[in-house]
Amino acid sequence: MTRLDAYLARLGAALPVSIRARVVDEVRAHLEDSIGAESGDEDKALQRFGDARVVAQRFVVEGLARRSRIAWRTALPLMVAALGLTAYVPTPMPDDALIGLALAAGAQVGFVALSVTLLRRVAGDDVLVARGSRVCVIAAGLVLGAWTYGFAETATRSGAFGRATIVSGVAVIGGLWALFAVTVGRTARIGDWVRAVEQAAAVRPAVGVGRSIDRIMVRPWLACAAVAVAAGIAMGAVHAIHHSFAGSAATGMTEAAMVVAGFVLAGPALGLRGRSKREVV
Amino acid sequence: MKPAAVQGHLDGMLLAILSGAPMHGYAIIEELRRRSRGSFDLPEGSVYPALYRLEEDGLVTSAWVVVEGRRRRVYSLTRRGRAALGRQREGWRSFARAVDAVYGGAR
Repeated sequence: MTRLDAYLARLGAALPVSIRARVVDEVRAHLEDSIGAESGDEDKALQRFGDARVVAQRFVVEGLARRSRIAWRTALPLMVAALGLTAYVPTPMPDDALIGLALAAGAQVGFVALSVTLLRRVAGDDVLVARGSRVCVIAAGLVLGAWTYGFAETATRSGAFGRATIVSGVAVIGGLWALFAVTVGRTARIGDWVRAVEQAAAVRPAVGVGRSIDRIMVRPWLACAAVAVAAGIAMGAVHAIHHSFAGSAATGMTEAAMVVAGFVLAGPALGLRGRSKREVV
Repeated sequence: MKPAAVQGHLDGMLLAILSGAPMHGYAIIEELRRRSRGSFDLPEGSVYPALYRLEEDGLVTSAWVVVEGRRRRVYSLTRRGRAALGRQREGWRSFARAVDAVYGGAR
């Protein structure tokens, strides 16, 4: 094995599978030219190209925007489906307080995560979109898990479906969710690593709408109040349309209180933080 | 010039080089070195991730092409890339004018 082959093997091993072949082929073509220009001196050409691991890490960092978009496109429909199920489909709930709690907590935390991540998406903050997507997928998992459990138990009791059908259905849904959770979780971890590197270099660019949203996000109480008021009004309106005007204020206030609870639960994971004393100074 | 000082302007410079003609990575790096008269001594491996990101952002497009009997990935500027280059060029000019004024270069 030549030094070039060993270098390309190290580079390939440190790259994500999705771009490995393309990058290795391209770098090989470059290094062959470079070695030719250096009269066959492989060491000099490889040194000028840079350490294989550092080059691979740069590709990972530069690919974060795309990964973050994919994570969001996974999390958004999952969370919308979970919230839609909670809001519009009568859940076949078993008499199980723990399952009921998972359903309620998942829906509230998911709603908060969805709102905050939507703002981050507009602001173009890939790292926090990845982090928010992870919270959305976990919250959707709680809601869909509770719903599936309730549905499976009701179906078993009524005998509408055979046990094998129910078990395989639950396994497929659970497997798909686990796949999403692992993918989105990996993107969020890469994002955290990128943010740590950015903070170490004191680089945190934000312009236009992004800067305005950043200003809101460093005041978590403001973001919490805005989302709670919006959710309260929306739920109050839904109650007024589907039931009656009476009771819609109470419904709205209950929803707003639950959103505040969602912020308290999900805030740290979503990267919501107040300004530190050092930043204020 | 230190690589860190160049990194912040790398995107704009890559777009500027590609605005002339489509090129493969090695040729882009050679052109960067030629135009800067050897001042930008970047690790060559830092250019490819930047090209990859520009492609992900839709500012450049790339394809495998056989050049002089060898397979190369050739990059070319998209319409969005050309517009981005115009904005970056204008931003750089006003920044350079401001810095120059502070240093007293106008006198």
